Amino acid sequence: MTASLGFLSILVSVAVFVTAVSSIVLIVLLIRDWKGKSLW
Amino acid sequence: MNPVNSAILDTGIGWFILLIFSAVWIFLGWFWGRKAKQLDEFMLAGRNVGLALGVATAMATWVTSNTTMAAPQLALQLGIWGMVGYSLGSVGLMLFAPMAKRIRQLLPHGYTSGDFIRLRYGKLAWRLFLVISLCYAFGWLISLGMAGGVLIHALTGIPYQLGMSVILTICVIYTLLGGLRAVIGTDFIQTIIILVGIVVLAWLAIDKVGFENIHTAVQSERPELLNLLMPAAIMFLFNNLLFGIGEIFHSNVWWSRAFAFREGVGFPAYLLAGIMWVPIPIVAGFVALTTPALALNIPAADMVGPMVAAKLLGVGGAILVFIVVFSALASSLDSLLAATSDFITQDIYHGHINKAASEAHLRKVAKWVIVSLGLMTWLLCLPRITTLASLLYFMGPFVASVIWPIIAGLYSRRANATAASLAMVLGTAIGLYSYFAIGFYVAALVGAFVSMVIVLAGMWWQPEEFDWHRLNQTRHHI
Repeated sequence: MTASLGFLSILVSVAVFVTAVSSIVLIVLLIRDWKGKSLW
Repeated sequence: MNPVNSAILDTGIGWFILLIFSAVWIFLGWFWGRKAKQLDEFMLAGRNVGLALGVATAMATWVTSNTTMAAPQLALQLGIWGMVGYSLGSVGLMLFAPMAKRIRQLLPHGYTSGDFIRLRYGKLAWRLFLVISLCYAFGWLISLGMAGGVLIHALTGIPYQLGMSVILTICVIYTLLGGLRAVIGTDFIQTIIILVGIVVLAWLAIDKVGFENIHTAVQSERPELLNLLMPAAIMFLFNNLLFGIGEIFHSNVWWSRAFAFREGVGFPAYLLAGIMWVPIPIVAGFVALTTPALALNIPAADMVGPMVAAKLLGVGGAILVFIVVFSALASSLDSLLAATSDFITQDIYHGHINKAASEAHLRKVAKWVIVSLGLMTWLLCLPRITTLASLLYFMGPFVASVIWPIIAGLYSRRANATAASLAMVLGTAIGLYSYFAIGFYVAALVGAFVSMVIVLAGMWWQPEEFDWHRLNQTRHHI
């Protein structure tokens, strides 16, 4: 069973998208914690 | 391209980047650690770490140089399942989420994973656990130190001994200055660098080469990499899953964070970190699949990422990969130094040598331990005996045999102390036997299975009625 072009594209595109979103989520969380004075 | 040693970056640029980042990490270590006068402040960042820093530190610590460099290597050896199998390392982080919550509730004054084993199972199990945990910590420290020297040399041509010494020294200095606060603060910046770096690299590969070209080239030159039923890759997937769970469940790196996170932060922090970690090996591994389309001749498997980056983006790409790898190395090395120092200070020094030590004294000892650990790692890494670095893989059955004593001990009153000790000894022994008799890919699996059978049998034959309040002790009750 071979991975098709569609399978590879979807797998990698989703992974790249989630990784990119992760960095944004982290920065949003940081700003929220910073404003709430709950960073540490 | 450096023609002398085939490094992809000029040595001068390498030194310049090392210098800039070293100065930044050391300054931040001093800045964040300048008010940490109490033991809790130094060792556990005041036990008040919020969600943003909590998620980032769990992610950064689990993204080691292995993730960024070995994921492309695995993709070239085991194909699609190599990438997906590596990403299953995130399951350990996700499964640790509910445990982090329970650890914080059951041991509000705890410092190390050793505290839990000592209070839950007694001194025999505690000492066995100390041996396993310290062997693993040293294996990981040596493999990281060596990886630092090897990668810096491969990327910039800086001699192995120098590169390894620089990265170790930087991590020791800023961990010494700022304790866990410095580690967690720098982890956040390092996480963002890693995430942005690998997204840029993957985006360039997709944009400049394209999925269709990549798929066609792989299918004609390395069709086995697209095989979804490769048996070795599926074996690797399960072994990696169990090894990862064992590493996270027992290691003080993760327990110290569970103690350091503010109440209510442990569960969401580890869960989010696990979810966000899943795609990283897939993105990093995908980069390797572009090599047939780019017609790259890779001299060493772990040079795939840097060479693809240099091909796609020239010197800029090579600098990007160097910064990502440097961040990945530092984020794991600092965490391991801090957590192992806590472990040795609390469980060895305070638990066995000086039971009456004051907090102020322990804080001093913790600093000496960080320096000694750095020095010891440096000495062991200096001769570059690669078999030492591969010791970490040998630790699979050791850490897998601890999974069940920890789970049962945290969630069931019936878990039996004798069975827990026996599970660690026999799980490790039989796991090691299978390592040599069958292969590395079954060692963790066998170790975990034997340990599970013994722990469950102990709960059934001679159940204890453990009082959870016994875990709620201060450190003075050693």
